Amino acid sequence: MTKPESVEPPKLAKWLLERLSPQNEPLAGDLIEAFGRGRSYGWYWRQVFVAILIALPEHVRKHLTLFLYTATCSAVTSIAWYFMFPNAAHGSAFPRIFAVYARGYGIDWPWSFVYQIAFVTAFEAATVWAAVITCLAISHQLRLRNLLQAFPVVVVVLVISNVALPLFSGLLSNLQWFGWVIVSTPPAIAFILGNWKAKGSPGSLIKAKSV
Amino acid sequence: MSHLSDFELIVLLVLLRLGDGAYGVPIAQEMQEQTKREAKLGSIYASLERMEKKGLVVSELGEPTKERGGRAKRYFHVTKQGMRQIRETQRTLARLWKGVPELEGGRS
Repeated sequence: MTKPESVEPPKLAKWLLERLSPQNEPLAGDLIEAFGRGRSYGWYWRQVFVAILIALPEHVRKHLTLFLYTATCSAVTSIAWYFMFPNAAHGSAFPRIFAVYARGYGIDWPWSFVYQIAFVTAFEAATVWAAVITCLAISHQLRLRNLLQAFPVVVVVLVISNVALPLFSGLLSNLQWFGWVIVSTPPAIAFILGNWKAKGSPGSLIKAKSV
Repeated sequence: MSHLSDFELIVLLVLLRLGDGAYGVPIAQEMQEQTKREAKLGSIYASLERMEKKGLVVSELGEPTKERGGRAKRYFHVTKQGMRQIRETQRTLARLWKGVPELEGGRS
């Protein structure tokens, strides 16, 4: 991947690095310097990805409560979604909600797909949103304005993942329990980013000691 | 005394080669030139921080510069303890190297 002369490093990568590897300012400076000397966008992204991956266990250790809360909320979302569908063993746990979903069966493709994506996104956004509000309320950081700013972040993450996941449905069904982990990941990411944005200040997720 | 990993040994040798100018960018560049593999700065810093905790290297911050977006350089130096570890690892590798017929005379 090549880049034109005198351009800034990818803003999103820079932003993610500052927040997810905040104590490593010299590393951020090295990346900017190397990028300015002709390194590619691809190189920059690979470096940021590895730096974040290395910093991740430390974040998890420091913010174990928040991590467990996130994992629980995303698991509850996936389980609720599973029990919404009736099968041979049980009926729908939420028949009214399922009735809304089932209306999509009567729609022709591609609108049925659009309906399905919109429904899944709304379902997950509702649970993620409830989790974000609970988390902020407990940590006394609930601000309506910040919450409203965080909402589009949650929706965008969920829409992207819900459009992408059906493309890998064949692969996911072969992964068994790990497929469930992957399916549960988008609500977790949406929660983390939504919570982050709703707290209003850069790095506040990292600074928050408990939920 | 625990032995150095391959990666730690490479990083320490690169620090020695670079001398006083050893900070992230030249370290990664030198490693890439010597190993012919893309060096990841995140891995290099993680390794250097581990070694700093063990007392094998020390670091100091330089002045922030404009070309680095106002961020300072972090210079690393090998300590006496680090030098001892390098020599110990070199001796161990040399011992392992000796007496292996497949590796003698430059044949693979």
